[in-house]
Amino acid sequence: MTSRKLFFNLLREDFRRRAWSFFLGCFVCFLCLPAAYLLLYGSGSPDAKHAVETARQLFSFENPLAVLITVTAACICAPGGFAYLHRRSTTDYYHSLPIRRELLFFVKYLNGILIYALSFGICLLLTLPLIASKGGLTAEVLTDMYMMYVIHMTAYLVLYSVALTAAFLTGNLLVNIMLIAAFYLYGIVARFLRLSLMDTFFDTFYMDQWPLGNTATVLSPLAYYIHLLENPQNLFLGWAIAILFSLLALLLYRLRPSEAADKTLAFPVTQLPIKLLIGVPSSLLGGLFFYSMRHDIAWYCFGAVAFWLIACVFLEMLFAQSFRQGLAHPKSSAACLCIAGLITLILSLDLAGYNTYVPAKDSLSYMAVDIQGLDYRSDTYTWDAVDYLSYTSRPDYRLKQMQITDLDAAYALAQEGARMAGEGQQGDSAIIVRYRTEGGRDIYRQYPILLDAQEELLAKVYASAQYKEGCYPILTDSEHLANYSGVCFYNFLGQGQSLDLDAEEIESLYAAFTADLLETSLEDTCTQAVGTLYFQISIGTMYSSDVGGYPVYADYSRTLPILEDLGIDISLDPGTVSSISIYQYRPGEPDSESFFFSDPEEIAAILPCLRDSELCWHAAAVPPDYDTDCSAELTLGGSDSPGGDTLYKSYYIYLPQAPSFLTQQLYGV
Amino acid sequence: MIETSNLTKTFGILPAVSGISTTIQEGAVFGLVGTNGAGKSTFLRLLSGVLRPDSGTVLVDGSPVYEHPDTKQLLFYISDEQYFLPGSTPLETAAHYRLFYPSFQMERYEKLLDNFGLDGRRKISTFSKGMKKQVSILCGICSGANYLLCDEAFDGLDPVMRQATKSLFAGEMAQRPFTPVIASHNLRELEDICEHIGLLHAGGILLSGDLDNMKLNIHKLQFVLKEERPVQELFAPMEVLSDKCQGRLHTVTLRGNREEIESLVVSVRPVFYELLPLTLEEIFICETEVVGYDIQKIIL
Repeated sequence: MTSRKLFFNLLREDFRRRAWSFFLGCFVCFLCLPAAYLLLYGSGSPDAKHAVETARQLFSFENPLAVLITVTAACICAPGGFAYLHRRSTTDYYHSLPIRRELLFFVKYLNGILIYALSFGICLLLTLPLIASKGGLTAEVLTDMYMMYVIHMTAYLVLYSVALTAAFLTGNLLVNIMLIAAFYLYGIVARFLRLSLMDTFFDTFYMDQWPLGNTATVLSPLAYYIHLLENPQNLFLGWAIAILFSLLALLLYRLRPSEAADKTLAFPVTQLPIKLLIGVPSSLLGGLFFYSMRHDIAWYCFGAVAFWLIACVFLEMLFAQSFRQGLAHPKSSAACLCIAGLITLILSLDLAGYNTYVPAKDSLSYMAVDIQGLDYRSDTYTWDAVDYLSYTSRPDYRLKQMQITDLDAAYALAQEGARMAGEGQQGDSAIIVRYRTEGGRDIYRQYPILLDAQEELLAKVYASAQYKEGCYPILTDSEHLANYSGVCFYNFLGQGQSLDLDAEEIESLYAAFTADLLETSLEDTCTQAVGTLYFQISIGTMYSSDVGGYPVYADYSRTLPILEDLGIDISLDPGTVSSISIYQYRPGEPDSESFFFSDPEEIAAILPCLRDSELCWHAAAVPPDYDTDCSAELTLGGSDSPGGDTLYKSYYIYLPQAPSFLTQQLYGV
Repeated sequence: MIETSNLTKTFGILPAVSGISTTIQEGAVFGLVGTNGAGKSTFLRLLSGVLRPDSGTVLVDGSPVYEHPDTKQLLFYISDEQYFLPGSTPLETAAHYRLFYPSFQMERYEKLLDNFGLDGRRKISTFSKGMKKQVSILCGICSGANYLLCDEAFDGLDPVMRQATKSLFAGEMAQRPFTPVIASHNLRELEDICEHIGLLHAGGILLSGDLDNMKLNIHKLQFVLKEERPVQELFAPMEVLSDKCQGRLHTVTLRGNREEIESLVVSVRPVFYELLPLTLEEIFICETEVVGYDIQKIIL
């Protein structure tokens, strides 16, 4: 019998033997595709648009059911096809047959793929007539369906080939399942462990994203799967991984001795690496677990030893398949503990100089900084591909968008922060830095900083247009002006006025405000803000929102006239304030002392020294000029607020402009 | 002909087969006997190409076995732990084997199933141990393979079936080149059927050759002497394998020519002497005792 004929005969025979998994796959896929479509569609009247939307929802990449089916199928089909390797009798049977092992491998391998490909594909095709019957069969739906099949099939090939590799490393089904889980999750756990250790031991560590943020860099097939769903264009990477692991699986299959059946490890040489790869991280995880509860290095050591012992004993018992062998190979167990201890020592003493590391200035292409305490009021947002606006956190936005190429001031700030971190000094604030090297690598650090001591450098950084462009989305948002529909201005007393504007008005206000904002200096920010400016964003009738929250200062010579021309009242009339209450908190005293001023002359004298606490973000930066233990509340009167209205808006007092009667009452000087 | 040369296989640190060099001639039943853990199953698994030797070679009709499907078609291996495809019947099992053995004789197989009273359409999982063994043996015979490697071939077979199987082997050997290689603990069974014997102990082969020759070379002699003399001295230079004395009655097992032994014992004019027939079991015990596998120690 020719090899080809034998191959197809065996393929048919093996598929028949594994028909149960095919039918199970068909049943599950049927529930998750055709049945799910009808369920999602509901029992409403026929509506082609709804049919299309339902189909596209079903065929979207992120369909969790499809992901679950794919992962489960890979976990079943890979060990299922080669389950005969887990028993001596079956191994002897198959390996005594006159057939090349490669041929047997390809038969089982191909059927493992066919089971998923056919069951998933058939059920996808079965969904089509249902969609067509509802009038929802469009080119977009067909494309979505095709892409769904290709994406999940690629992910399946990756998961399946990795699971196969795991299957050939053992001769025991239970261990096989554990190995598959380890292969799938090890990269994720390792990433989590690495980041947790750095977060625990390095003061300057900054986590720029959650542990699985950049899924492309996590060595895990599951992480790749998530990455593929988010980046469908990366199919080729999946095929490359699948081919690589399939070849590795074939190699292991060829090398795998028949006597490995029933044994925990097919290749005894893998015992030590596996022990090290599991024993060391287990010990470190144990240490972190206990440290997270008590923040005490003694508890860290206890956890590290406890988890090390559990891991090593468990592994030895598993390797030997005997409870009595838990303490076997004490040297390798000791090596695990020593390595874990060494890693802990290196991290805790920062022997690698992580905290004080500052990349060479000439190796950087640009920097991004987020200085806590330096403007944290205004909104940060980005636009996606379909012009939807999404809010992001200020540090994220700044670190991603900012590109300071004139490095002098920012680099000097970072150096000073690194010096303080190295000497264990505490700051009154923190600076998060992203260094982008010429090679395209990003390095993140979070240093302590003393804002008042670095006022000069801070002023230089703040004066930089690149800093501001990385802080304020409005400065780089000219291409989305079509979505700007109006303006909202809150005056010093917090009273808001909204206006719908036409495109021309928007354009002129935008040009004026961005020019003023770019020219704002750190010194300007100590002056009293006239008010706060928001822009209204409208996208058709679907979306409307106010974004911004930018302070407008008295020297905004371009913006203020335009706002006035638009009819917005920007003046502050002391007559609208009927009284001012100032509360002074004294350290060690439970109650604050209050001072009440209702004389119009006193009110007019006090008002210029008040600063909106929400806009006065630099108050902590220049303590001599502000007393943050003092806050003021205003009560409004007059025609706008009959009977008076207390403004629960907090104001700080800018001491250099405070009238003498006020400082006399507050401080006795 | 199967030839092994310095065949060695180690499991971890345990040597299972150590440097076995032997020849299994075709056309005769080869019996493989040995102590527990002697390496009989491992040796058969090496012969059948299931295991890869650590060193040494296995040649079947001059060709290597491991990963050589053409050579493996000459062999049919029946493991002591038999395996059948889940839910399969004897006919389905045969159909599966037919994929790998193109000259599988299906009609003959069905006829033999009938002769042995086995239902070809009944699931094998419902069969008794002996019936499963019969199915395996019938598959092996009908596969067309020249060498049938059986690990504990007669284990579980009732006396009638055992006899029928022996007849089947004999008939097959008469018709075509067919060589059963049978590993077993049941030495009496092997003695009836085997022409050649390989005696394994502790991974090595102690003795290999024609059973009749073996019997011709090892003899058990009972005698009573008029005057006691050291047995070793009496039969020197022959190798005395065992010497048991009850009163004045000596029972001696020794290696040598029958005529020479008789002439030696006659020369001392014994009161009585008799050459007793040796069973394979006795040969086995004698030979293994020589290398330290002392049954007395185990019993006592």
